[in-house]
Amino acid sequence: MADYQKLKYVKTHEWVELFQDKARIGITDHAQSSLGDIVYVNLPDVGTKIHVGERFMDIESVKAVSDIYAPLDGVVTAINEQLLDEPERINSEPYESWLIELAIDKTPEDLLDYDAYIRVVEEEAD
Amino acid sequence: MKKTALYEIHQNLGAKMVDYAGTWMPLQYSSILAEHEAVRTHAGLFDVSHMGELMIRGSGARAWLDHLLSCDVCNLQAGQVRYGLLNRDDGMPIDDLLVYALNNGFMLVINAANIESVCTWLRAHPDPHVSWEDASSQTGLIALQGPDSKAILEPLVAQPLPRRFRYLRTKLAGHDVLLSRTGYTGEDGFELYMETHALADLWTFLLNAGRAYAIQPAGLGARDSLRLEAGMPLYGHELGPYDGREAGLDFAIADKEFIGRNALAKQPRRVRIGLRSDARMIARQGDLVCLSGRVVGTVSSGTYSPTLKCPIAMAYVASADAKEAIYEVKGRKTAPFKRVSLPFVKK
Repeated sequence: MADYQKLKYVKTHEWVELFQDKARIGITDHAQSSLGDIVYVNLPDVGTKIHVGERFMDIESVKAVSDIYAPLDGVVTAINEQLLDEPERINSEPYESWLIELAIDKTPEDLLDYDAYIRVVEEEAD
Repeated sequence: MKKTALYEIHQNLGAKMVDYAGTWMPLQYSSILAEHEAVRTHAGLFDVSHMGELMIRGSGARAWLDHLLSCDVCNLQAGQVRYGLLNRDDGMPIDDLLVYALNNGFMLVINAANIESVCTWLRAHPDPHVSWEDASSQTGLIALQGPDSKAILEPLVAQPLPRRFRYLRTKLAGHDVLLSRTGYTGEDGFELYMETHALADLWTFLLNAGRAYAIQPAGLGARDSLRLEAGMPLYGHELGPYDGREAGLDFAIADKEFIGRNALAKQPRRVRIGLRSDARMIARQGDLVCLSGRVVGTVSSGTYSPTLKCPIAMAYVASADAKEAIYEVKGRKTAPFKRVSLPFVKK
C-alpha cells in the first residue's frame, strides 16, 4: 500500500483503495487511535455480500467493540488473515492493514478524497 | 474539570487524556498493552494524584476510625498501612481505602470518585475528640510499580526501603516524600506522596532514575488491566454494588465492632469468581453470566489480559452456582468462560 493521501475515504473512518474491479478496505489512523489497543478482529467470511452503510464486521479493542461499516457494495473475495494473529498492526500501520478485499461492480462516486476526509475529522473534533 | 500538576507533562509525553471522576487523567501514553507489559517486566510510573487524602487528628482519632473502618485500627502502629472498607449501616461500602498510621494522626487514601461521599459520611459521624481535613488538593501521588522498582529506588533513598504495607518519610530530589510499599498492580512497588508543587520535579526525577530499567510512564488503562490480572477490586465494579464479604475481602474485615458489621452475612448469597476464556470475546461489566441459559450472575469487570493473552473477567454469581467449571457469558455475543481462582496472575 502506498500513499494515504491517494486513498478514498468515508465519514465512518474507513479508507478505500480502488483497483480495476476490486477494492481494499481498512480503517483510518483516526479510527485506530479512537479504538485504542486492538485485540480481536472479527472478519467476515469470504463470499459475504456487503452493502454500503451497513455494518459488515467488528473490531474489539481493550476499550470496546466497534462496528465497521461498508464504504461500498461488493462481495468479499479475501480477508487479511495476518490480522487474526497480529491485530495490533492496525494500530501501528492502519493504512497497510487492509481488512478485506471486495469484488465491486462499479466505482462509487461519493467517496471522499483525503482533504475532504480531514475536514470531516476536524469538524468532529469541534 | 480538574487537572493534576502533571497535566502538561502528560501532554508532552503524548498521553491521551480522559475525564476520570472530574479530573483529566492520562489513559495511555503509547499503548495500554505496552505500558501493562512494562510494569510486569520492569517498571512503570503512574500519576494517581486525582486520589483523595484525608488527614485525621485528635485523641479520639484511633477509636473513631476503628469504629468506622472494617480493618483493625487499634493495633495499627506508626509506619504501618492497612487496607479497609468504610461501610454504611447496611454493610455496603462507601469506599475501599488505605489507612496510614502517622506519628501524629492518620491518613486515609480514598478513591477519587468517592472523595465527596466519604467526606459527607465522616461529617455525619462527628466526634468531639477528632478533627480532620481534606488534603487532596495539596497532595500529589505517584506510583512506581514493577519488579525493578526496588532497584530504581534503593540508590536514591538514604534509608533501607520499607517492607510491604509499611512507609517511611524521606527526601527525594530535595522534596519531602512519604514513601510506602503499596500498590494496585500485583507487582512490587511504591507509592510516593508529596506536596503538589513537588510533583513535576519528582515525576521527572523518577523517570530519569528509571531510564536504565526502561521505565515507562503508564496510564489508567494499564492501571485497570494490571489490577484486574491481580484480582483486585475496583469500587463501582467489585465493591459498591457488592459488599466486602461478597467480594471475598475477609482479610479486610476484622473481628470487632464497626459500622455495617452486623449486616455482613457470614455466608454471602453472592460471591465473586474469576473467569477466563479461549474465545475471542472480551467480557464487559454488566454482561450476564449463565448456566445452560439460566442467568446466575453478572460480570463486574472484564478485559483482555496482556499477560495471559486471553479475556479475563470477575463476576458475581449466586453462591449455589459458584462452583461450576464453565459458564456462558452473554454480552453482544455469547462465549464460554472457565472459572479460575484469583488472582489471574500470581507473583
